[in-house]
Amino acid sequence: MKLKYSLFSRREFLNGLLGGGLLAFFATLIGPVIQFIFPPYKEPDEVKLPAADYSGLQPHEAKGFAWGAKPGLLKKAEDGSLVAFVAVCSHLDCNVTYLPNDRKFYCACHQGWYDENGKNIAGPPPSPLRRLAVSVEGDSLVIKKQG
Amino acid sequence: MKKIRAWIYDRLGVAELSKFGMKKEVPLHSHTIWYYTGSSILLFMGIQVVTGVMLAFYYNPTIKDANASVARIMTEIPLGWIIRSIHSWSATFMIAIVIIHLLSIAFTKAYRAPREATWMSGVFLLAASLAFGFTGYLLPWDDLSLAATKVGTDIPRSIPVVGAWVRSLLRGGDDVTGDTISRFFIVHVCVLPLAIFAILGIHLFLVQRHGMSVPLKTGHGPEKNDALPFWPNFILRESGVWLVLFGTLVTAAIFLAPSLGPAANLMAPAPAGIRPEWYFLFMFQTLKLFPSRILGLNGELVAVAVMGAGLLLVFLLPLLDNRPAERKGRVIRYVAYATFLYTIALTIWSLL
Amino acid sequence: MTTRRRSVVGTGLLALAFCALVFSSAGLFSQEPTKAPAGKPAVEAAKGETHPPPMGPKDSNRVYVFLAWTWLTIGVLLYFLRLKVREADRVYRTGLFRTTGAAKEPPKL
Repeated sequence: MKLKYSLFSRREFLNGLLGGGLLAFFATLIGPVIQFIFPPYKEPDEVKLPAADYSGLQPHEAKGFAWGAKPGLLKKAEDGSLVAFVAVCSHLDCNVTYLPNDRKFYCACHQGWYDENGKNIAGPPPSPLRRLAVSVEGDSLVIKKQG
Repeated sequence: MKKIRAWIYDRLGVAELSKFGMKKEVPLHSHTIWYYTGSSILLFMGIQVVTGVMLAFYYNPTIKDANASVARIMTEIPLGWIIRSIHSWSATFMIAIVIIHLLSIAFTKAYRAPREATWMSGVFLLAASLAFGFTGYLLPWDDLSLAATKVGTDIPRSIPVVGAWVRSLLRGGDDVTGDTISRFFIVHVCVLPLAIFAILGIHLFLVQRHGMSVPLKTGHGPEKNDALPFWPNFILRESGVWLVLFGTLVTAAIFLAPSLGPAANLMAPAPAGIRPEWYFLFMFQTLKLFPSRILGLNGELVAVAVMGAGLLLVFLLPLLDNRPAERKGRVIRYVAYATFLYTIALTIWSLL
Repeated sequence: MTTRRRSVVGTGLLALAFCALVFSSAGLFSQEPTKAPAGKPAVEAAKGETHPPPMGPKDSNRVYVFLAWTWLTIGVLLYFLRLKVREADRVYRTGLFRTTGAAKEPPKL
């Protein structure tokens, strides 16, 4: 189909080529810059803790450990099994604490409450605390991402 | 879309800017090529600002973490080594082009009246660029940069009366310590950028006010078709130059990436073969040449005085060379050639 | 070859090279942390100099592709700039869009 008149003039076409070329040039530079500015966050795959540190834990008691750059809480359930949570509130990222008298997790920032299984029960938190899988290997506790 | 564009153009007064750009003309003659040096410096300065900000995202200006943070940039951060390499190489390219720019202005005598103030602001810009290089060199805090900074900040000590005070000001104390890193970092990242942008504003304003200077002997006359409009003709050509320079920079940065020495040990003896960056080598060699005592005066003081006098002469060159077309101008030109050859010869000597 | 045809061929080559880059360098811009270099700097720091992490053949190939693409783009852009410069010079010589002075020569048709 032959057009009667050009859609754009030669000058516009040339300008478009130049502009598009420059855009392509800068687009390839953006990639490495973005990669540099947003480095990948390295959450550990697993964390090993000496079991001796946590042997004195009573049921309904919790003790902290380091999960990469985030705090974690290791809690002994009623039946003696260990369960681990990432102790970060699902609302706006504040660190939560465990109140043994209430047997609940509490976030002081906006008064968020979680029950002893990490389920959000009161306040603004929209979802439960993240769980981590705990297993015993020899004389150390191995905490891994669940699933 | 067109309406938005028209609104922006109207509020910002873009029409006046583009009229000025089209009115501004770049003379065409055998020395036109040197007109490209000024904007090339701007290109590298822009690259330095961008890569510098990116590096500052991860750099820690403390004595404990300076070296470790640079090592982290080079090994852990994705493509950090390229960004650091580009920053390092762009510094070299920028100062090289600053020197070429200075030489081209000096030898075409573009500093003739009424452009003396432009030259003087340019000397300040040269000093600022060298200061950037000097302060930046300490920041990785490896043993080479510690030694270079110790020597560099010790040079003012020989100045009578104020010497020790100047050294204390530079170092943040008597010795090069963590305080020196903090000081050099804030100067490198805040003080010098503000200063250089301010002086650059003056420099560029003066260049636009006086127009482009034409060398005396090019047979350039108003009758022939002898000038190009700045926009778009000259800018398009400049863009080509920028692209090639950028490509060269990235190629050099990728194949010749700098490494990082181990963290500086304040108690260790100076490593063998310490050297400042290449643009300070001729001063370094000059200092080595001077004997420790001359005519009863401290040799270093004489060397500093000579270098200071040299810098002052460079600064006052347009006022000294007030008759550029006559014999006085010729003599000054020969002196300039001789000085240039001296710096080259000493630089090569210091590398042997 | 007319200017128009040259422009079309240039665009085509540009698009081709762009696709080649996108497919071959998908890994270079990935967000996965590189595990291999993490071990090396600890050893290097103990001995002395820290160098950029050694790249396997896959990564160095990607860097070479990136460099080749950069230079290719620069070449194509220089070509377009040349066309644009010729056009701008031609327009200048005709004396249109002048703010000062008139055309020096009668416009060539």
